[in-house]
This record gives sequence, structure tokens and C-alpha cells, in this order.
Amino acid sequence: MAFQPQRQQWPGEDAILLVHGVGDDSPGESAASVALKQALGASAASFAIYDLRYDEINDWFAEKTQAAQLVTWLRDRIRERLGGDDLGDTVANVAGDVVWPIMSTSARSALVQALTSQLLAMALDGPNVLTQRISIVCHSMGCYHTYEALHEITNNAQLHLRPSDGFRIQNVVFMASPVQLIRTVSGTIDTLVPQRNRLALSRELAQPQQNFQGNVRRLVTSRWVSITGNLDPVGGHLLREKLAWAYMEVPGQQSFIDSQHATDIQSKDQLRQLLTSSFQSGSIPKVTPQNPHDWSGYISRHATDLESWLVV
Amino acid sequence: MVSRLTRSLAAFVFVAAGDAAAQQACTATVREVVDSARVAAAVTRYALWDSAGAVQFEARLDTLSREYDGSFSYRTALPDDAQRGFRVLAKHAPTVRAGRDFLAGVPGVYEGVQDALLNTLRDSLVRLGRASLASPVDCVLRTLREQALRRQLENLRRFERKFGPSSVKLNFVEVLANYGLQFLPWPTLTGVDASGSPRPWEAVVAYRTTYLTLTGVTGDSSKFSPQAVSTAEFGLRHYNFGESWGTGSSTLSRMLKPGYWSVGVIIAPESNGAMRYPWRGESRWGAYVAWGNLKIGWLSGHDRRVVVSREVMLVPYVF
Repeated sequence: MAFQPQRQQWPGEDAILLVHGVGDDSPGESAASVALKQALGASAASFAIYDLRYDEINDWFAEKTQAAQLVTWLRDRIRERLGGDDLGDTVANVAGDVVWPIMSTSARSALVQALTSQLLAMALDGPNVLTQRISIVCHSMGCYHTYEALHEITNNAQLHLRPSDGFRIQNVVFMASPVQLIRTVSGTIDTLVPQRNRLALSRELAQPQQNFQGNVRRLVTSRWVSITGNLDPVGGHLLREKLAWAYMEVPGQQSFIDSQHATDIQSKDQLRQLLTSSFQSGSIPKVTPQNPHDWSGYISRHATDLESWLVV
Repeated sequence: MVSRLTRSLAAFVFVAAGDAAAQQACTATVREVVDSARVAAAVTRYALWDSAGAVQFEARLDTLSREYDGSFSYRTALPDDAQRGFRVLAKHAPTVRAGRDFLAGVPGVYEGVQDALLNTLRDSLVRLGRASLASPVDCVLRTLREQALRRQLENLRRFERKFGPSSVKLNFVEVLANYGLQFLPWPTLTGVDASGSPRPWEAVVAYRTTYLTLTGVTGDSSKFSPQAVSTAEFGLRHYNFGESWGTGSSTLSRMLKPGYWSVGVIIAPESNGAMRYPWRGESRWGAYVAWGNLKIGWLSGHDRRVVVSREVMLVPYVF
């Protein structure tokens, strides 16, 4: 079935678009949406929350080119290097699905149009153009698509979503954004990337803005936020080391880098407590590995921030 | 151009039908746009403007009033089945074109008024609780955005036709060929056009060993037996983006209106048989045409014959 944007009536004047990463297409309400509602608390009821998933479109191209097996092979090799845990799966999925928007102009266009269609639908669902407030929270590959789509709507008069058309994004919150990583990699192989100069990230990273009749109109009016973790390679870190070539830095962005832990033991006290209780009970100490790329984890860690940014 | 339109069109009405049934249709006249903008400027006391900005704003409103004078017609209430896409839009082409002329008729004038209301005066209007003064402009925007959304969804439907589950799978060489076509400096047959719609063509480069022909049985001129013919195929496949194509529920309807067809040349070896190298010996050249999954070809040369086949890939990635 052809892609259809989510439609709903807004309970108030605010809406949030959650742009998912790849491989996050479980049916029903997403874990990210649940975590965000918790973060917003009582105010959540006044928000229209939209989820955008686009794995189906990636799958068209994978099946058409019968590259699913090639992508699986690539993922397996990455998993071998990074381990078969959640993080290994995540990085492998990102690497597999970045192929389409980079190497196929058709996939690139289809994915951007899926996102801009959702934004059009939200603008139509919302109240009067002056009073509607739209924010975007994206994760992983969803950040890449968001970055490209925001630049597309700023430049494409046919969509009527330019700032001069009164369309604004209140806040955009990038979580574990691979934008710079993709920019660097696609730049390294730029002769292999068709029409790379049409990618917004082929130019210097910047917030989208429109020059309208001599006035500069910004699309994102309040906050452009980047949150990543120091153990999250998709967000430009490796073993707590920031990788300049992979970390997204856009002028004017508010940056947050979470201090992450590989397991649920985050302090010496916690470790001492675990060992003591284990010794006393005679049981094996239970240590749970943490996925530093987990979207819900990012949202929960920044629940207070999100509430202060999104609730007017 | 503007005066011609003014003369020829009777009523100026923006109508946004809305995709959701629950959504109210809105209407707005150019007079309402102008009047509400004047009131908005007055109640905000031309917020943030210097006198030159205010004068320019008034001049733009005067231009709109003078040129259109409430007599410009722009009706975009497409029927509910407008989701069918460009075919329906094409039926309404005169009105859609008129709408575009309105936006472009006096370059920058309407957009300037819209920008002033929705950006320069925005905060003041919201603070004063007068956001409703933007309603006529809001209606125009909804109309245009609904059109844009329909166009994008139609584009995505076409992408699904060309790349989705019912499209033809490409072999490795075809993947490379179609990938390579993206690098051509001029607009190609296979990429994406300026409106974001996929172009309907894709390259076909394939080895086929599934063509069949009938050959006579030695010693009995009344009998024929089928024989495989191996070929190399070079051609172009065209996807039919019409909504009624490739979606039939019965085999017959899908045969009559398939999702794609293709045409090209075929090269066969000098003798028939499966798994033969096409350039072996004195190759035979010919042409083929495919309608959906059914193919028919004709080979010239020393052993002329008609060959038939089905679109099928026996070995993934290969042929």
C-alpha cells in the first residue's frame, strides 16, 4: 500500500513529529512516543504526536535491487566488529539503510517526500497558521532525513512550507544524529554519489533559512538541539572520544553530550552494592548491558529539558 | 495577463476541500484577504515596520485590489477522488493554472502580503488575540498545501509502482546500469523529474534462457516441439503510472492493463538451446516487446523465428 501520512485532529495548538530511525517499525504506539508523553507529563494531552516510519520505502529499494542479502552481509560484518548486541545491530542497520538515500536519487527523493508529506499533513491538521506550533524530535537516520527535508521545504516553493508561507518549526531536537558522519563518508566517495551536490549536507552544515525579498527568514525559530552520547558511534563518538569528522555541529545549535555507561552499573557505589548483595544471597551478580543508541533512553535522560523546550 | 484574467473570470473564491472528511472546507475572496490584511496592519499599528515598509504594504494591497478587484476566480475544490492524481488534476488544469497565475500574476505582491501577515505581524496578532485576521490567507495556504500533498502522495504512489513489491526485480548488471544512468549530466529517462515524480523508464540488460520457440520434429513435418532459446536483452522498461494499470484483481485484467511494458533488442546464438552464450557462432539479432510479464520477440538471421517468454528471474542477481 502506498505511503500515507498520519492524520489526526490536534487537541490544542502544538504538535510533535517523531521521526524514527531505521528498523523501528513495530506497529502501534512507539516506545519513543510513550517516553515522550512521560516526559511531557500532564501537558502531553494537549499535544498531537505523530510518528513517521519509512522502513517500507527502504525495503522497496532493497527488494528491487535484490540488495537485501548484500545489506545483510554488510550488517553481519559490522556486527562481527562491534558485537552482536543492540548497539552492533543499530550501527549495522544504519550502515545498511544509508545506502539508499546516498546512492539512489529515487530513494532519496521518495524518503524526503514521505517526510515533507507528513509535514504538509500536520500543517493541514493543525489550527490557524499563526497559532500552530510544530516541533520535531528525530533519532538516528531519522535525523538525516529531517535535515534534508527541512532544507527541501525551505527551498521548494511548490510545497508552500517556506518561512514566507508562515510555516515554522518551533524546535528540532536531533538525537544521535549521523548527519556529519554521512556527510563525511559521502564526501569521501563523492564521485560515486549521484548528484551529491543536491544533498543539503553536501554544503556546509547550516540551519535552513530563506532569503525572502531581502529579509532572512529562519525555518526553525526557537531551538536547534543536538543530543548524543559519548558511547554512541552513530552520534559521532567512539569510546567516549568525540570524532570531529562524525559529530554534527551546526552553527547556532545547542549541544548536549550525555555521559553514558556500557552497563546499568554507573558508579562505584552501585558496583559495591551489587557485589555485596550478590555475596549475601549467593547469586550471580546481574549486570545489564545498556544500548547507548536507544531512543527512549535519550528521551528519558532529557525529560526535563524536553518538557521545558516543548511546553509553551 | 492579469486584466485578461480579470475580465474572463467571474468570481474569486478559494476553496480548500480538505482530505479529512471532518475538515471544514474554507473559502476566501481576494477582497477578504485584502480587508483582513488592512485590519491586521491597523490593529498592530504596523508593528515593527518603518514608514517605508508600511507604505509598501499598503501599495501591495492596493495592487491586489486594483488588479483583481474581487473578480478573480480560483476554484480548487477538487472532487473527493482527487487522490487519483494527476489525471484528475489535469481535468481541472484551467482552474489550477489560474491559481498559479494569481500567485505569479503580479510577482511578489501576494507573497509579500502573506509574508507580512504571517511573519512581520505574526507575534503582534497572536498577542492581541487577532490570529483570525489571517484566516483568509490561511485558507489560501490550505488550498495550496492540499494540492502539494496530493502531488507528493501521487509521486510516492508512482515510486511504489516503479520500485515496490510488484515491480520487476533487477539483476546485478541492471542495478549497475541504472545506477550509472543517474550520473548523466542531462535529464535522464530514469531519474526523478523536477516535480519529484519518478521517471517511468528503467534500463533492461539481461541474459535470458527462458525464451521458447517451436521447431519441427525431424521426419514428421506435422509435429513441432518447443525449444529453449538463450538471449541477451538490451532495452528499456516503462512503468505505467496510471492508477488503473497494474492493479487488476484478475489475471486477465492485469494482462490487459499491466504495470509495465518493455521494448528492446535481443541477441541469440546461432543455435537454439538453454544456457547458451548469445554471441556464440553467427549470432542472430532481433527485437522484443513485453507487455507485462509476457514477451514476444523475433530473431533474424539464418534461422529466423518467433520466440516467446515470461518475465521471470531464475537465479537471483544473475538472470
